[in-house]
Amino acid sequence: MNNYSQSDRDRGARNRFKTAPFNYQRSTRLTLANLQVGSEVDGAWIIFNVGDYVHISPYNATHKDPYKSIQFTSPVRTGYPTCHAYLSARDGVDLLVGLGDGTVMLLSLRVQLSTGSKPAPVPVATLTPEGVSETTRVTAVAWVPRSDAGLFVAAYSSGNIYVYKKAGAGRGRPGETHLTGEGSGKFSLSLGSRDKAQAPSSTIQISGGGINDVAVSPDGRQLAAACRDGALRLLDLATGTVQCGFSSYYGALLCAAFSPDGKYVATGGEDDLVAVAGTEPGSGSRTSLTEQLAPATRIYRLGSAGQDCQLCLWDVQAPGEGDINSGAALLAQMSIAGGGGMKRNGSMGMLGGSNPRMSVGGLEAGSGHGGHDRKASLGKSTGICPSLPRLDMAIVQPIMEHKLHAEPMSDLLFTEGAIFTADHSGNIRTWARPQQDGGSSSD
Amino acid sequence: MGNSSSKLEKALAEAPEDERYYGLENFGNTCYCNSVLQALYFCKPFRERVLRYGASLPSNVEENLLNCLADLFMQINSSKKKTGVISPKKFVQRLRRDNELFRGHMHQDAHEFLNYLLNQSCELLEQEAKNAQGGGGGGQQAGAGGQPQRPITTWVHEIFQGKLVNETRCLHCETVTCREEVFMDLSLEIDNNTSLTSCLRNFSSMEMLDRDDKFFCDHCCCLQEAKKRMLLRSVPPCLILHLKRFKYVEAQGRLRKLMYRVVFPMELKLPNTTTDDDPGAADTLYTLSAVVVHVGSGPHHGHYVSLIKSGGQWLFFDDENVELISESQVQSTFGSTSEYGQNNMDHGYLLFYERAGA
Repeated sequence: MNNYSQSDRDRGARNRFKTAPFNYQRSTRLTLANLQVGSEVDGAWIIFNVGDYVHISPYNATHKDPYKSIQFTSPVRTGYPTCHAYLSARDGVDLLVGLGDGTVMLLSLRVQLSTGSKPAPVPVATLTPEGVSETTRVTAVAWVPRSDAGLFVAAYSSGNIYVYKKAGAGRGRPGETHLTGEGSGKFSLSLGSRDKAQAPSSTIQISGGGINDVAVSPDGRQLAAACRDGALRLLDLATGTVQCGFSSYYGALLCAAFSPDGKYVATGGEDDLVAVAGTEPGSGSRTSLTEQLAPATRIYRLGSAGQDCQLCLWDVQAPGEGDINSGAALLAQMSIAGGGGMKRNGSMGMLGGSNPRMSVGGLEAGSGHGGHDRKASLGKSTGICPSLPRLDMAIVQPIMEHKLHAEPMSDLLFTEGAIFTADHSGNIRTWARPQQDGGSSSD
Repeated sequence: MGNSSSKLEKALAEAPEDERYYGLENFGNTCYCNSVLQALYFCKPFRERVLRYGASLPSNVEENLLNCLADLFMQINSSKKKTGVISPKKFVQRLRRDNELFRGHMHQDAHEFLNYLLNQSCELLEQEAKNAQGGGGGGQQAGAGGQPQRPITTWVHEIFQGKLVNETRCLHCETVTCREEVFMDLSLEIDNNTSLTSCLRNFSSMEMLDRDDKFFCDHCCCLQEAKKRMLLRSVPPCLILHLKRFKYVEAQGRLRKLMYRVVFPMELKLPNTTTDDDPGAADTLYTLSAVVVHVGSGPHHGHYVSLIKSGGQWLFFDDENVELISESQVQSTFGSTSEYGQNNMDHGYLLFYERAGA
């Protein structure tokens, strides 16, 4: 077979082609942690993953060497961290790390910060759902707010979402083994966990060709899933049913984030657009929208980090005229302008009035509520609104766009005082925000 | 070899029954040719027409590039086994006889070859159509002096040809002059860390014509400053996009390869269509069907492979080798994130998008 090898035939290159780890899947993500356990490691920390490591840096010292680095050594090539989440918990089990091989680890930030120089993770539990192979990535993990860190979700590239209930938490037993969603019946438990109570309370399967990101609403009731088939699906977390959703203009959706008040959800996708939609499922949303007519001039600030290395900020105005027919009608769509093509990766956060948490990017926004009665023209069966024709999208400019990194950006994080940005090679930058809107909440 | 092909066959168990996956032998730097041939073979509308054309040929037809292509496609298509290796020898010989550019054993540009093949096919088909119409009719090129013949639209045109409109607005009299052009593929300038959508938008961005480059306005009857842009007026069933990765650097007096990272989506809607006469063109959904990848650091050496989606799966064609790959491996050909980045040598070069549902 090698009779035809040519002088210029770069066989080395060929091999590299097949094994080249694509850094897009190893992108750096950011998590803010506020530890208040009455120990010497109390305080705010920035958690971020680079390669096989999860680094933990003091909030105001991300430019220095991390305070602690946890190395995830795995027998399989894909066992690197892909995502993480933190929520302060009474039992100290507050940190989730999802890995590329489908494993989710529950850790204690305090323990990790206090252990000596050993860089290994000290998992309280390691979850590997049955049927998850090393090629199934955990694409997002999230704690469910208002569950006292008793519930969390893990989303997979395969399209499964597992909802776990932490043992002992949630006296009301919020998630008592719901098996919901299509095909969930075949789910069986097989947890490699030392704590046998760490069982998924439910599993949700979405026919979305895989999930790229999930976000949980601030009230802990809704889950937004950014799917590879281009749909954003809003699910009722308790039942796992899809309530509503909308489609990208084209291509996969890559990230999702709720506004701090939970009224809106924002996505970024391969169509170079950032879209914002209401989260109220269909019926009755009209009244609730008119009710809020008075304070309707609320402005949401949205940020986005793009693969074009740019950070963009937009101001999105909540609708005053309330002409959104279905809950998930698009409120605004923003597209990357001129030099800024990109896919956003990582999470995207929204900043409303004065709140924390946001990320991900694009420019030019379009207010797309266009008065179409979309209920009559649903393209997909499950209440997913099809995208608007390009002509019907109004274009909105970002209030700021700036190339901040030399490498494609992968995540951003809003805090009260700053915006943290990260790129694919693991550089973290901090941008101070002007001090003004007091009275903000944090999580 | 037999071993690896049976492994592939197993992997392709779920692939369509009548689909054939054949590697193509390399005759010394013919990877530019093989990679493009594979992409075209898996371009279903094109393959169907080529096969139909091949079947309709009389047995004593004079050999030309197009019927050599048809022969090759038929040979692959009618193979008993699902996988294997085929030699495109006859086609390559014909190509080298027809065009001295491809005669040597030098590394060639896959885009140039694609261009040549499609244009040549069009010409041959036009010629045949003319011959059929006018019984030869003598004058081949000049339309025999009679009424100017309407350009013949061949099936190659039907599949790949789109229309551009060149809008020029005179800044003096505000008259807009529109000139229509046709294209078989679009060549796009690229930047680092950008997206295909952004490149398409730049392709249609407004350009100033001033100073030495003024526009002759028919209305003003003189040179004027003007604004110009190019928009897509009609879009073909199969859209070929060429990323201009080989750029002439004047200072160095030579071609250089741009390693830039250009993200291309698995689905695409064109951002730069005109809205006046075909509103549907704006929201035509395309899906990525094939990528011809250039591997290597420079324009004069390296290797071409193609990544092709067939039956919902991505396949990797490297001359005689065929393998299954994942979508994330396709995404690894976006390019390098830093300008002289050496972290990645595989760069998407020609992108084949097919109209969804076509």
